[in-house]
Amino acid sequence: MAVTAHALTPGCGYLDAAAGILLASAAAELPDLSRHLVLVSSLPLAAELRTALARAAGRPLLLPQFNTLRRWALAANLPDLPTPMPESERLVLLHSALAARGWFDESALWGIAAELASLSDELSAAAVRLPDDADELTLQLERAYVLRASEPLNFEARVVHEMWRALAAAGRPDAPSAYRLRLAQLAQPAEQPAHPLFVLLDGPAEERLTPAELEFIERYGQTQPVLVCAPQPRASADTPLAAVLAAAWPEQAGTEPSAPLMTRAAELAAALPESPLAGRLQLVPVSGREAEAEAAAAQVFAWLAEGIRRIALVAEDRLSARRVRALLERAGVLAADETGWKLSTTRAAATLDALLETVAGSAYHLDLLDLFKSPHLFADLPSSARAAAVLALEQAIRRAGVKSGVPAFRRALAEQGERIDAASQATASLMLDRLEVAQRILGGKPAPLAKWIARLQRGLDALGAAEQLQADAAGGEMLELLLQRQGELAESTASFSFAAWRDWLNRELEGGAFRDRGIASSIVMLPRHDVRLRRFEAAIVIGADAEQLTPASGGTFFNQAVRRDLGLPTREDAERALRRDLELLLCTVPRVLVTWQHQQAGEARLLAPEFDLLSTLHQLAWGDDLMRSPLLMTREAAPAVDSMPALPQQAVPSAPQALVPARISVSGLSSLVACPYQFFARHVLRLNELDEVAEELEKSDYGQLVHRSLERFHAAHPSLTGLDDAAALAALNATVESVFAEAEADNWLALGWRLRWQARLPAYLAWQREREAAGWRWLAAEVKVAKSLPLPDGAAVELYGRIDRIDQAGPAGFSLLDYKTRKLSDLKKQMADDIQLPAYALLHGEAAEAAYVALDDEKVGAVACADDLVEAGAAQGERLTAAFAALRAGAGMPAHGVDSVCRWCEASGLCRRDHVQPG
Amino acid sequence: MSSPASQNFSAALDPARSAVVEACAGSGKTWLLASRIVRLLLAGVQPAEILAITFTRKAAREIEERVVDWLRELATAADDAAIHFLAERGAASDAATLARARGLYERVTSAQPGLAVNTFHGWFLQLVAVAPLSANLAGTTLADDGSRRFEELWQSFARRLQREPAGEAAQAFVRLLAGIGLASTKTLVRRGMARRAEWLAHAMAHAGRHEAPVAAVVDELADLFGVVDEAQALASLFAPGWELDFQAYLGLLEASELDSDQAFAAQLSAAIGQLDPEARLQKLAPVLLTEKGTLRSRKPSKTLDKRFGSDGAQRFLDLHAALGARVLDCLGQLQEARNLAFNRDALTVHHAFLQHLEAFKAERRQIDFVDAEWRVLQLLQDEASAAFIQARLDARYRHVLLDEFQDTNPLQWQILLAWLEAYTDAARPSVFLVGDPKQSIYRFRRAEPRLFATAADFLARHFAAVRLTQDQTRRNAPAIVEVVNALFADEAAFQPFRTQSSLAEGLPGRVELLPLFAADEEAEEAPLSEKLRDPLHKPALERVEQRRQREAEALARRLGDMFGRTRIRERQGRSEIERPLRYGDVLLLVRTRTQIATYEQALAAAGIPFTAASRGGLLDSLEVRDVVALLTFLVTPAADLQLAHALKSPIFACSDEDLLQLAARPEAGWHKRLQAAVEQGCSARLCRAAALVEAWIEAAALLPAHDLLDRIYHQGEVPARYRLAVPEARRAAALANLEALLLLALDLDGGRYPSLPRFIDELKALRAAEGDDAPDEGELAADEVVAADGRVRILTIHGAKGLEAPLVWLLDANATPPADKAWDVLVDWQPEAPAPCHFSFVGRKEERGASRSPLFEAEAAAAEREELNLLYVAVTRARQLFFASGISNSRKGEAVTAYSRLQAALGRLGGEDACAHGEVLSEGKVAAAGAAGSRPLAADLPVPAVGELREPLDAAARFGILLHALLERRTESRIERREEEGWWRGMGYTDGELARVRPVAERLLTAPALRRFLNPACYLRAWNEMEITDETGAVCRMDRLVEDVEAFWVLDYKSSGSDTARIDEYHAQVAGYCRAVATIFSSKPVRGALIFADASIVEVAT
Ligand code: SF4
Repeated sequence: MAVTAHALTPGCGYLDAAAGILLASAAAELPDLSRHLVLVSSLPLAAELRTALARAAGRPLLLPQFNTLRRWALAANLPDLPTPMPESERLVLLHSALAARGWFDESALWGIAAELASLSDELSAAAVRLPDDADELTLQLERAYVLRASEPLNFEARVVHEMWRALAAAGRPDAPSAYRLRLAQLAQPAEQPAHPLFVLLDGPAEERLTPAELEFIERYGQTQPVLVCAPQPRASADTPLAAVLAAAWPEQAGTEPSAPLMTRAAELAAALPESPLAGRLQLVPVSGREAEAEAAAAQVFAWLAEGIRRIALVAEDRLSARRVRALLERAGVLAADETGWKLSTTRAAATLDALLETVAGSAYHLDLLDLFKSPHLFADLPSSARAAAVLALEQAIRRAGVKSGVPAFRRALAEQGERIDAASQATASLMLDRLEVAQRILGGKPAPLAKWIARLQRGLDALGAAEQLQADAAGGEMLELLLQRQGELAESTASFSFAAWRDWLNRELEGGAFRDRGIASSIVMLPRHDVRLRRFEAAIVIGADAEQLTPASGGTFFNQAVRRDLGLPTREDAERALRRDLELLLCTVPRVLVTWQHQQAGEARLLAPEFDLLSTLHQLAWGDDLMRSPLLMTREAAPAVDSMPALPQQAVPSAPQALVPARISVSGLSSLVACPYQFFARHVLRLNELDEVAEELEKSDYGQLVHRSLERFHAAHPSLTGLDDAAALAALNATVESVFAEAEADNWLALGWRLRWQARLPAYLAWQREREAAGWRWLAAEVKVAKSLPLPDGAAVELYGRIDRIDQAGPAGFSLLDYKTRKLSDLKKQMADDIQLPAYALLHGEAAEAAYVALDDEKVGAVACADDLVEAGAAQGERLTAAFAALRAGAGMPAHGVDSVCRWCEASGLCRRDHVQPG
Repeated sequence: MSSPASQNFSAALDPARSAVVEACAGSGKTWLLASRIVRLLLAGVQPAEILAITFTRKAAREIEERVVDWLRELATAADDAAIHFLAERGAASDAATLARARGLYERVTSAQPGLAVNTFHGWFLQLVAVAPLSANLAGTTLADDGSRRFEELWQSFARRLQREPAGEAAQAFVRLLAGIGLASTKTLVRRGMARRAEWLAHAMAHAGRHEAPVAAVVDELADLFGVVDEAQALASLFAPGWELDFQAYLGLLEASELDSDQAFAAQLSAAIGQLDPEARLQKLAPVLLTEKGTLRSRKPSKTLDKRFGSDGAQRFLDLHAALGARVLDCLGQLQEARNLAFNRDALTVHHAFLQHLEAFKAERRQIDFVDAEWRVLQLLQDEASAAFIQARLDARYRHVLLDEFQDTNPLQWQILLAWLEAYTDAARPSVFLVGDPKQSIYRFRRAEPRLFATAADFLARHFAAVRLTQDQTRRNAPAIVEVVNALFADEAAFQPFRTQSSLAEGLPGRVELLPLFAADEEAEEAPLSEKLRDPLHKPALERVEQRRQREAEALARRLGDMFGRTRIRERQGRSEIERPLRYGDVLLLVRTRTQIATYEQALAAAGIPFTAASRGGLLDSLEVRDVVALLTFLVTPAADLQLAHALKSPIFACSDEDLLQLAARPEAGWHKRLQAAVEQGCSARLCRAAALVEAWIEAAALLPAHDLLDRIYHQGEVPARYRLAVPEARRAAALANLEALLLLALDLDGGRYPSLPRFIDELKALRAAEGDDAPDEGELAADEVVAADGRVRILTIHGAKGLEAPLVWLLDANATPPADKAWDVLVDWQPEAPAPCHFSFVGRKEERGASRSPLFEAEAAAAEREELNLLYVAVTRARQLFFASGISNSRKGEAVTAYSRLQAALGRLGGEDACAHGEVLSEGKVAAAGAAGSRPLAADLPVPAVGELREPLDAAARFGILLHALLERRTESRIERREEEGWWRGMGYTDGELARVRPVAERLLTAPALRRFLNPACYLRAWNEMEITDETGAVCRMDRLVEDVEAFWVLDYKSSGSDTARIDEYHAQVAGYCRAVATIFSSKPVRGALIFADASIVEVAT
């Protein structure tokens, strides 16, 4: 018996050739191949080989068993072998070992543990044993780094060595070692039913197989027939295409090629008058992500129109690939996804994270609403009731402005009273109850990971989320992953805080892939190395710039020199693998389009060197650099006529009489004067912004608190007579402090505002004394006033408002005061256009004076309105009635605000101002 | 681009030598740097031995691209061209060199590690990354210093202080709030944070690894300020016996008959009687000082002599002056004392905030650029770790090239020094440094132009570097260079300046200064109408900035005139052609972005295509707000305004009448109204909207933001509709913005945990964020309409660095330079010093005190110099035409501005009133070249539907699959399979499902009728899941194939009962399998059977 190796020409005939070899070798047994074991590099290749066999045999066959070497070895029943330590358990072990040494920040440990685990795997896979003595490793590093031992070097050696020992001390093999042991046993087929072996590789055996696998094949071949088929490397293949690739990519990267590029190109051109790459490969530079996606999608459409169906989308750039998929879907072209998405990018994971974030942030309002709006929650409630309750809760939170905490939300809900219906209120508070249960469950003390998983499951149950998550494809996989980890870690006792556990979970969700198996299609999105030898009719490599289409880099530990010294794979190996992938891709797939963003955000991005070399070579040999401009997407269809948009004009709507309001506030009047369209939006359509929960006290809140403190102070002290300066200041200070107390408790920065106001208090009191000296007495605050103004058509409009403060001097002298937390000089500038004070005067009817009190200067001062208050008020009244009469008669309300008004106008989306053609 | 003519550059390119090159704008710095890299490679240097550092990623990529392009050219060009190329760069051109040169392309493109052109930041991160264990940075992510992170820090900092209100930091914080207010405190903290690298260096140098660096630094400040506290300052004035002179002065005042003096006397006497020194000073100061704080003027005069006698008068004046000086001195000291106290508080808070920042980052495993810089410095300054890092890198740098060195900051220089220090003498690298101190415009990023000289000296001393200057530009026309020379030759603050010359001989050029735009006198005062304005018919009159409006209109008019008419010259290969000006040839420069909108409006109104220079405004643009309003409504159905907004957007194109119809409806909430309106009849627009909205609400719950947006764009025909609904001038921008939003959704947080509410919260936060955090507008695609003529670009001078254009127009050139900021940090870091020697906080300008005035003066000088540099950069962007315009200053007392400098320079060149210099460029229309070749369109054929959604399996099918799997495991015959605990879970099945399947499997396995198929004792061979190919080549899979003495049996398990409706189908299937098996095994009959869940067996007729 022996191992027979066949090197086959890579290309679309590869599988047929392999099938022929297999049939020939088993000629005696045909058509029963059931004894044979066929091991392929990847399962999709098995499916293709099956059909190739059928084709080659031309008659019914009992097919051999197909598998990959790894799957086959791992599934084989070898009861004496120890089971390997699961990855999750190993990480916990490393984490604990690292934590015990206190070398690193707690929050870094999972990351370092993962790095160490993968280094350990690499060492095992390459069958490298570190020296038993730590000092020896140090010496080895010294040699490889060409550096004398020093603290950092010792430290690196020590970390690696101690953790290596820690793993060894666990007494259980890691996955690569276990695999090696299994292979060793399987290589003695005496104990197993005998199977002739047929191995189909997608690359040279030394590159594709680990030392242990190679050894397995060798040993197996001693007792059983073994056939190994591998593609010929480009250097030795005798097709024109391989010759071109060999000329472009000399096998040994980094070494000087035998002849200059020009000479090689000339030789090629002499030997091959027609380029074997022409028509096979196109390089397409694009100018941005969307352009890249469009170029790829347009090419797919063009191919489909030609009748090409089996298309590979190689996703070097995941984001662009996702855009391609979306563009294809728009046209009803679905792509099956073999790459998969990280679990963390699924909606189901978002629900999980919202729950944890809500717990971690003590139910911060945004997190809570995010959680409650998840489609997975409260599956046991009717969905309409659920939606109504969440809406009610959101409105309550916004109105009350509460930031976080379930009790606060409950209070906010209760305060709503009549404004929301009882059923929704009840449901919402039930939801809050259940959240509290979940919070309690997840707020527990440090615990082992398996227990944390159990807590999470109970938390999800409490929120009625388990069922919906299970029903969701990605959610199901996520729960499955957690169950699996729970099983693996059942014995693990190391305890973790909430933060460390969440960290762990994030890493799991980041590492776990979700493959959407819901689509069957001949268009497949897949990673580069999975294309190898599969018979696609066309392929697009998306994102082939030098940054993304690049060999994988080694881990955090050591540099290339040390890795080489230790016998670990280096970047050169990765580079060779990359070129091999591309070689097989170009050989097997007859049409390959390569896209890359040649610039991104204004920065140039180079094409990956592999393609750049090909392009240059091709240019030299055949005068064509293979660069092509991207295909254009066809223009989208025109929208339906009956809902077709037009270029916006200045909006001038008019309202039916019934919708013209019967009452208008003073601020409504200001809005009407500033911009009638804004008035239309606010008071005719009655559209207002929802309340927002503010993080910090804002300037407008400050104004309100200032007002409130003055209102309270003067209610208690209408006059300062009888209070000396110190007493007045003390009383006012006390009032201010009590008024601000709540805001300060809510956010300490409110203290800044309070201090700002308190700094003004002596000035305010001085001003108040001046007023009293001038004979004015505080009379009332926050006075509501209203007045009905008759309209020509017999109807009336009511103007109303609220006056901050009214002072009185003598029986007939009233003064209307409005506090402003602004500077006097700023107020003065705006007096010419002032509407508020004359309107108050009109409403009050008997005022002798109306003034703003400026509260933001060193000194407090007032600025009074117009000389003739009565006349000014009357003028405002006339303007109001004239405007209302016109509105009731159907006058338009033009959107003609000025910049300073528009800047803060919430209706700018309605009037479309920014899109109205200027000039 | 051809080489610099001057041959003294062979020294700069000599790979064996270190060199420092000071090269003026347009002289080809990039050419030089890239050429040196080529020369190094030619000399046999490995790509990985070269470390090139420049300032921006853009520049780095450009150099990299340039080198690769050149090497490709060298590898492919004809011999004479390649030899010419080498000769231009001073390299030998013998056969061996040529052969080597031709091989470089391949050597560099496949080198591992390859040639790396990096930024300082990128390089530091790389260094940190190789020492992650010792730097304790494993697993960290890079955070930027954005305003959002600061907000988060600021809030959590406040919470932290609140928890310990009696703590030192909280107390200092409260004092700051009371003293300077919330906003200024926040500004201080933020600016302090921005300068934390300098603070760390300063604290380390001045307090060592001290636990309380603040105290040490404050002690030093106390020395500088010359005070301890206010009490001490007062005590110096009111030292024992202080009152004697004041009493004397009082005596004289009292002797005066003037009322004012009497009043002073009364006040002084009251002051002397005051016990509290501070109150005393308060009262005393006005006697001697004016309100502005200057000495009251008292001059010798006849009246004075008469009043006091001539001796008395002199004594009075002397006393007045002396006492005034004493009071002023005391006030000065008081100011210093207050500044010291302020600094103590500010530094305490600053330090506490930085500690908070550290904790914040540690918790999140973040590092930022400052950390990277700072840690790299520390790592490199430690001998052992520096050596380790050098050994640990895969690359061994033997040649260091530094580009744009004038933008380097002192910390970076210290890092470079430490890096060079770490080499053993034998392995010393060559260093090549190029830059232009005249173009240093990054003071706000702490760039220190004086470093250029320091570094040059250092390199001359330790690396025997040659020093070269290059003052010839190949970019600017002679006329432009003449103006540059006239501008700067005599500018004291711009020295040393060497006269520049132009290599672009014969290139016509022109510099022109437009007259300043002034306000219209009459329009200034709008006529006051008697009646109030009728708001329904007359818009309010905004006091717009008319001057700028005029400037903008003049700009648009002028560009419109020149477009397609003025002829400019362009290099094409090695020759030059003349062609009319296009919009793409125009670069508009502004000093700051604040006024850009006015110019943009004017250009838009004139129909001139431009690239918006605004940044960070994506989320403010109307089209994006439209989409965000829609999304907001989808997650918050109560958002009526957002629904109405979306309805009026082109997505739905509803009218105001449509909205009125909804407003009139009785239902609560607009969503319900919309639904009701559809039922009762409404416009096609509303119907369409309602249908789409319902579908999207459903999708919004399930889809990630990007997928949802894509669906909305597609189903809502969004791009097509915006194409119709946005005016031409804004159309391309609108479409680009919509696209940018889609990509933002794809990108945000790496697409992690994608829920729509979170996305919207994120957008809200991003929109509120200032500066770099807010997403930028979408980049305009080169659409067909404007591709040929390009777009006018509007950029800040900073943004235009490294660019050039045939026509450059400096806008708002008469703006006064920005004033000093209050509430800032003052740092003095001398270029050659290892650390700053001063770090303090500064309050209002008038309260700065005298002790730091040398520092302030130095700052002011640096600021002035930078203004000149900005002007230099602006002018030198222009190849042929440079225009400047501005508006007249309303304030009198003309400040020196770019405009006034240009005016003076033109005056020097052409006499008093000259407002232009150079040639008038020729004009003439030329038929426009044909439109650029249009790109091929994807076939317009209908696209076939490809792919299908797999229906999820129903319960029965799942039951069947699991049953098969279980039976297969229990009857394995080919290769034993390990019974893994929980294997069914791996297949996606629950324990419950297995529990339901298991009894059925048991029933089958124990059923006597099935024994013959399932018990190995009863048959010869058996296979599970046996695959065969049939005559047609199709592959089919049998559940079980059994061979016993008399026959082959094809068995199929069915999870149903035998009464299933599909029984015929099952029979046919098994019969087919039997036929195929029969062709394979002809020795025995082939029989088929169906096995049902109840263990019944039905033989299939074959
Ligand atoms: S944005 Fe301006 S024009 Fe539009 S409604 Fe508001 S104020 Fe009026």
